[in-house]
Amino acid sequence: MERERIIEMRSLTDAMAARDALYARGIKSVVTRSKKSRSGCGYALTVNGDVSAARRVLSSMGFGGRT
Amino acid sequence: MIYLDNAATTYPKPPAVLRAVSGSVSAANPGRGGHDLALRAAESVYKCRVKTAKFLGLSDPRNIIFTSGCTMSVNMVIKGLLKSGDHVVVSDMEHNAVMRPLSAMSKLGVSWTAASVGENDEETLANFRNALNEKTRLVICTQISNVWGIRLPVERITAMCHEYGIPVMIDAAQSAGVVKINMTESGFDYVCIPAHKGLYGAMGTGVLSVRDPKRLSSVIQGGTGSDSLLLDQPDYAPDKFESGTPNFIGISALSAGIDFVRSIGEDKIRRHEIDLLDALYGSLSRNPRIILYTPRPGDRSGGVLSFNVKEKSSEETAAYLNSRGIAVRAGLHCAPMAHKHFGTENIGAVRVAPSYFSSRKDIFTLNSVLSAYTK
Repeated sequence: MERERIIEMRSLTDAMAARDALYARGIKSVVTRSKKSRSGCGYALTVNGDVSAARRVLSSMGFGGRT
Repeated sequence: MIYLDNAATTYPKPPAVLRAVSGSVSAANPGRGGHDLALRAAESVYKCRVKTAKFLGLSDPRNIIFTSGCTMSVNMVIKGLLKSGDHVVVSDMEHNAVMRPLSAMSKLGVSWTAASVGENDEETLANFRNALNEKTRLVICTQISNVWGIRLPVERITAMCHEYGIPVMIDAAQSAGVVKINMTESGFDYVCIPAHKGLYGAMGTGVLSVRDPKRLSSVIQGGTGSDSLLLDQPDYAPDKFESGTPNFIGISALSAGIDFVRSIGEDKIRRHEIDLLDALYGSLSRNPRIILYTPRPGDRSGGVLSFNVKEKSSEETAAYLNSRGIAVRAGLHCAPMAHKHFGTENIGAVRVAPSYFSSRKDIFTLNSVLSAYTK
């Protein structure tokens, strides 16, 4: 379940910018280090809320997630 | 010491900037590890990125690239954008931060034309238009001359260049912090900024603000803390342009410096500097042994005024002022083209550059010392 709440991001700046973008749309998340990262140095968002909605928002805004 | 060399770097710095520096020397590496200390430092860097973007009228903090200074920012644009056969138009007020990388690129097949700054904005605009050709790929323009304080019509130059699809890079070394910069409204494609001048930050820090990072190649590659399995540099900003451990101390100082500027406002800071220079200009213009080159400071000026004393080299005058406890800058100010414009390339000029911390008393003392010197 925990893993489903995680959206991997391509960079730390992206993760923080995505967190702020989601917050502006009423979705809370926190920046974390991805425990499942396959890219060497991975940061992720742990979403407290509707993960599918969060993914849709980030995708529409052009964030380079690793979902 | 009365310090009037703020075009070189502002001094003193606001107390909040000093606190930001001392509070950031001991910190974890931002943007690398996942532990709390690293993430806390990374959050500070990110907040400065957001703040800087907003300060420059941009909504996306990823368009803000932290560099080692304005010169580095300028090099990143010139070398990341141009290739053999390309042509560039610059103003004839440009600093060597622009002209030397351009000269290096000319050895690789890039050509350039200098457009002269005219008596008025219409003339300047016409000179830029006439300098463009079908191979022009970039126009570079300082917003305020670091020698003469002349403010160029960069918004109108940008609008004109965009009619031809040509991007524009603004050298904001002397304007950031004293002139409001809004990249969204102005359309500037690239803005290069030092942190330690009008933004009252620390030396060794700069900003390159980019409207479309995809158009620019990276000239430096290395570790970014992202996509580490790949040998190729990430293709997304800011990681594409920022390799190695960031200058956390400088970025922290920049953040505090922007807060300081925003708390006062660019218009008020500029008005203060112009008022001081206007008073100085009035006194100097009545002294028959002083040579002034530019019109009285006003709307078409930034906080810089240069002059000479008849039959004295600029270095002699500056050395005398130093001996009387006044710091100004003599010589060519790393901008030989700007000196050629007014025929001072062989003697230089004495540059006076106040900051928000300068006072009328400072200017009165300078004028008194100059009066004694020229008797």
